[in-house]
Amino acid sequence: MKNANQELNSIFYVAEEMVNDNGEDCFYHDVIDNKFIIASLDGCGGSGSKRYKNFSGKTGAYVASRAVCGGVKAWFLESNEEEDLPTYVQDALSVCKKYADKAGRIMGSLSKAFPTTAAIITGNILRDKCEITCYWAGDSRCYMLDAKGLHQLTEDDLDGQDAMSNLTNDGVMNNSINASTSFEIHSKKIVVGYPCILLTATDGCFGYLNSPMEFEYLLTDSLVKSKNITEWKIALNERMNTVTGDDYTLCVAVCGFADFEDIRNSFVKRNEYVAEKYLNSQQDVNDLWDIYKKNYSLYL
Amino acid sequence: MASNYKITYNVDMVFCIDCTGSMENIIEIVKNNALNFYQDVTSAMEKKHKHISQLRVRIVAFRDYLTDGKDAMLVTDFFKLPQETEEFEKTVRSLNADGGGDDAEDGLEALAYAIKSKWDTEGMKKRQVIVVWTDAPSHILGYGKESENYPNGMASDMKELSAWWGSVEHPGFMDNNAKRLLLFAPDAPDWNVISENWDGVLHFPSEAGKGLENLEYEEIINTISNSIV
Repeated sequence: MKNANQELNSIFYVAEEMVNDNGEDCFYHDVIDNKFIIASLDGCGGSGSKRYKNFSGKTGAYVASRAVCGGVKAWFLESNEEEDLPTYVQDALSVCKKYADKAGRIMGSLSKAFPTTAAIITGNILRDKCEITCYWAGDSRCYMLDAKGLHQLTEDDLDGQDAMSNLTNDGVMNNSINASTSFEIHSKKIVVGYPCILLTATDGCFGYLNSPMEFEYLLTDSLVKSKNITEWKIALNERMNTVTGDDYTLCVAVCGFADFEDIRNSFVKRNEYVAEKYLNSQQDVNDLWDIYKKNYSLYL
Repeated sequence: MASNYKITYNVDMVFCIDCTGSMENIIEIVKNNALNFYQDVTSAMEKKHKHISQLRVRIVAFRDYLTDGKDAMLVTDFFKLPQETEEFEKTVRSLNADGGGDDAEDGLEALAYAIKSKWDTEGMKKRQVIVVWTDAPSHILGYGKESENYPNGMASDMKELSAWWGSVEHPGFMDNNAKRLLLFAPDAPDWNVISENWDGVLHFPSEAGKGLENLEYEEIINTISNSIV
């Protein structure tokens, strides 16, 4: 019989920035005893495009994702209590504000100080299940992938109706972590069974595809064509790099499988099904989405 | 898979330019800003792999209805770029600073014209951008309605104009996700009211963009071109 913490098979990230040393994404993953964390953050390049001389000329978005990621790390290592997370995030933003240049001259609702999204999953690994908590703000997402398919666990802070409309409508973000206005870090507890794969992703991972179905296919097709985790990481990176127009960060926690062969075999049928049913179909993509979203939205 | 898939944008821009006498010493700068602005936004979007499939630009040149009568408002249709670049540039170059009367101008009427533009509603993703360049506060809406040239159907007050701009709960004449308003205008009534209360606004409080530093200009271009607020 395996120990509880042996149920965590692997934890890793895949990330790339569009412009070297100027990427506005950040990530953190860690494991302590039977607890783990995966976190993907995306500094908001539009509202946070002000550059700060005191931060080496970097943008507010660049600084925010890193500072808040540091706050998340400190929170996980020192507390990991749900009610403490906002305080750690606010402390990180306070440091940004303290050392920032004097306020710029540009005003208006489009401009915010140190804005970033965050998608975080913390997990408590038990012998037969995993108790997870998702925390998020903005349009970065937490997901679970199991043999039944991909499930979005968090609701986008966008004005659009669902994941499909948010791909095409370019919805306005109505909540993000920032130092100018009030914001909310949402949280949600879920108990998940083994085996499963948990993911946190910035919008560069999924936001440049035709549909949410294509994101699932990207994940599973790269997996079933790989021989080990390293190959899967490389394949994920190659595929996202091909389609995206933005920085991207994907953090992955693989739980409850016997070995890589077991992971791969668990998704062969599902991968074939998604390809045949959703990607190679002649049906309208919106009609296909209506079918797909029932399972995809199971946890929303 | 979508390896050859490209998200494309239809971008509409309306440039509202104060052409009163007080703009005389900076009108050439503003005209150059207008001619460069759409190119700078489109190249910033291209850098982010946001490909523009259609770009249209329109001019609203404004003065003061009571003082300038029929010359108070010059409104063009949209120019399709790059096909109509020559006509667009010729129109911008032809603008001259003249008239205006008192300190304040009829900038809100120009903004109202811009908001009610025939925006493109097609395309995968859209951007609807209004840019205002002025060195003056605005008159209240309707200040010039004694003029025989004052338009019928104009927003009667700031409350109505705000409704035309719209909000998430009550959309106006523009696409709520696509709309952006960029003000190069003084921190004075009613520009500061708009700056503080409307969604999707970026306000550089100066005389029509005078004294804008490179870093500030980059911030403005990136804020307008990047997708999410």
